[in-house]
Amino acid sequence: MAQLLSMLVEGASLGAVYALVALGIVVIYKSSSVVNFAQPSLLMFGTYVVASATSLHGLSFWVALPLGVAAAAILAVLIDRLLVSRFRKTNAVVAASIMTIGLDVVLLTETDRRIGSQILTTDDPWGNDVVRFLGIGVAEARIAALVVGALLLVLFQLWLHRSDFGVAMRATAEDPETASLMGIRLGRVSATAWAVAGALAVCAGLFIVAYPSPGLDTSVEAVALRALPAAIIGGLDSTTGAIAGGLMVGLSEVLVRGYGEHLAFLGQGFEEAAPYVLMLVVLLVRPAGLFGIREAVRV
Amino acid sequence: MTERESDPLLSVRNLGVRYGDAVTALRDVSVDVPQGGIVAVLGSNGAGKSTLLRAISGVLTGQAGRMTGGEIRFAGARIDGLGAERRVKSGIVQVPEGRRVFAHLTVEENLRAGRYGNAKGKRPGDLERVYELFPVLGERRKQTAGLLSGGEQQMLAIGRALMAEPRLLLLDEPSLGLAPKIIDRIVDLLREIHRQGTAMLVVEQNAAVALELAGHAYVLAVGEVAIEGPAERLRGDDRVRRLYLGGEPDEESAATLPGDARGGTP
Repeated sequence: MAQLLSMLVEGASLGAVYALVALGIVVIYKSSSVVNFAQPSLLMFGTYVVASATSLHGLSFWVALPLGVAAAAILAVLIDRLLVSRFRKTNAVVAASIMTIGLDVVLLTETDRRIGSQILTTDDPWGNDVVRFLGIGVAEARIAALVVGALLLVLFQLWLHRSDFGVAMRATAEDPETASLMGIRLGRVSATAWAVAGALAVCAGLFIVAYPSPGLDTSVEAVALRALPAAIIGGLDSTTGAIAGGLMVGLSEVLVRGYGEHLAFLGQGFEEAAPYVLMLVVLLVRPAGLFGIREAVRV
Repeated sequence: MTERESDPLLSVRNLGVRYGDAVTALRDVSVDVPQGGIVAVLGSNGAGKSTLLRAISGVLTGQAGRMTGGEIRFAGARIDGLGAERRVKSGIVQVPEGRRVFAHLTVEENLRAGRYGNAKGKRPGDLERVYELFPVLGERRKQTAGLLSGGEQQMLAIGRALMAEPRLLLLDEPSLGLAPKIIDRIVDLLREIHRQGTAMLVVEQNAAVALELAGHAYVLAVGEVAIEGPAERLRGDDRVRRLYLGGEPDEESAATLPGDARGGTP
């Protein structure tokens, strides 16, 4: 029982982190119909900026954090302005999406080259402490991920549903041409979405490399990529779906790993495949994802 | 060039529009809307009416269209090189064909989206002004727009455009798919909006509705202006009566004409 509880807390914490990354993918998709496969590279880039600032240049975490967030946001906006916007003129969203795969490879190669064989830590304030409650021990960083992740998700949803900009973004998601007839600047909506996606990715990245993970190394990108099945499970056009999908992926990963001995027939390391298997199962039942509305719309 | 009192508010001169490489949608079209006037553009399906409005609003590129010639002036200044959002801010707002309300957004969120085009930005009471004109929208402000009736959606589309406080309202088939009684309501509301000082360019297949509203009208046929004149005169014009006022019984649109236009039958 205690084992299950600790797995649930850990899965939810990991899920909140995946949800942050998935949310970025969803926001970009909603505002420009482009699926951003380069989200893991934004995460790696921003997290690398924070980790190198703290462990190589001796800056404090709280100075490095805004630097990393800003760096990833700026890189994301540049990608949108310089590359994706060219495709938008001809509405070639599929080509633009595939372009982001190539971009991901290029950016990851560069961050991998810089990281090399190092394992960089971020000097984050959670340290290596373990919190004990209800007979279980959970790393403080995991609790922080859950709390901060949940807080960011709530703030994001409030922003999207209450602010004027959120209204503009949802209007654009539904009907870009009519949105531009209303005076909404599609380029600005898209750039903002990319900036937010970059910033969210860094927040997630910092929790992925926190204790008990040893730090930032090149293997983190495989973890970041699991946000993609999370986004698709929830429905690419649903922010609520990104959160649900993130939680499902996080929980499935932790539970499969935790009960690994009972699942030996699936072979070792099945937890890494579990999110993708889950995605396939969900897509068989609901092709638009759990919360996707694209195909439920009546015209 | 600065604005002069005597100039038309909107002046379209010798406009040509082409889709792709081959399809010519408009050829040498000139249309004026005077300050504070209502002008109608009539024509059957595919005559180029919507293309004209898309060119004025600056959203031709979405369908790979482009201007091949001519110029568009608004309040004295060339606007044909401007982006769509700049044209909205300068005071031209379109109510698109088929209403195109944001179905998943609430009524109030639709209106807030419309506020984006207001050059003066957000101001206290701007939502209330629209609710005053359309009380039904005020009652349903928290309701999802997709659940409104057709007439209510048309009111929302008009209200959303008014949030930008346009000097010129472009209306693309405001009567489309609405029951005669509802069309009468919409016409009354448009008259009220016009009385409050907004000029209009109305595109309609339903000529009876358009000629009832407008002071001046143009008839587009295959991308060119075929007939032009005061609405009064066009109402009496044989060709207009035969082609667009239900003179021929096979006219599909006859079913949507309001009662007073069907040759006196109640």
